[in-house]
Amino acid sequence: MGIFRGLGHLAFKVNDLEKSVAFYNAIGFPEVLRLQKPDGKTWIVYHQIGDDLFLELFPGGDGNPVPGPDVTGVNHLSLTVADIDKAEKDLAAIGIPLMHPRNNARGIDGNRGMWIADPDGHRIEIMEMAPDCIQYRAVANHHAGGKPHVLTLG
Amino acid sequence: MMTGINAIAHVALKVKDLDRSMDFYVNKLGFKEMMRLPKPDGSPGVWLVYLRITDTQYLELFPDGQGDRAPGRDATAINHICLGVSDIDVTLAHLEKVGIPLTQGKKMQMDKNWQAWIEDPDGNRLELMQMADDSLQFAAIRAMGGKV
Repeated sequence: MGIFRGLGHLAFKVNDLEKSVAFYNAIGFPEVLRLQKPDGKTWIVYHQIGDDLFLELFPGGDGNPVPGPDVTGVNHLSLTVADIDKAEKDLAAIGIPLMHPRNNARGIDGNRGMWIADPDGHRIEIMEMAPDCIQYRAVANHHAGGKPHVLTLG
Repeated sequence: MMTGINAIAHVALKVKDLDRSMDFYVNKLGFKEMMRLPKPDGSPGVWLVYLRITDTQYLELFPDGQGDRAPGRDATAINHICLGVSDIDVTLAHLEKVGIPLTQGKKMQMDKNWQAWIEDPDGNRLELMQMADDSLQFAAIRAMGGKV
């Protein structure tokens, strides 16, 4: 095993805290903890993703939208769903639009996906991982002691 | 949950120098390369490399990042990534051995967890955290009926 257990949390610097809190509550990650500074202002809001995985929202962003997709830094995050058709309907029902109309075909990795953006423009890829997707096959290969997979597309 | 969204599957980094980032994440931090994909349009070079954090959590590295440094800590952006560790002393000893300096040393924060900080080659801030059984986060999860 490596030296890490896994992801602990992701932290976002946000422009409008309550707007972001409402967004993440709405997509199913409830606020579980809020830490306040001595002056009563909010320092961090924690949202639960899994029982030991959190999102942290810090207020006080610089007022700009997040950096674009070609900029050095964290580019996007991906969230998984069991059923992407249901997730698309559920997101529409709570008024969260997709960034692009969904192409229902499986991607080159074998998975179905779609994209949403949070209030600051953070790109979120939503994935329904297929049991035989290239990522899971690569992990199985890793456990079997194999070399990393190099795949040629097309 | 209503939308069925239930986990973080991966975090993707746009990196300035893929070899430099691979040295950091693979050779030094110990994440294993799972696979790499060529560019979909057939042009030379790598489109992305998948690294394994756990069997169901991956780090994606995309080369050709524009700009030398990730956004600073006050920018509206993803601010940092936290990696969970079982024993922070073991992790810090490993980091010393492989020559990764701490940007902030081991400290117990008010949430009762041990933490330390490092930066990746692009300046992305990485928090290392050993969660305590009685941490504020776990207490909040238990209060909601979660099992931690």
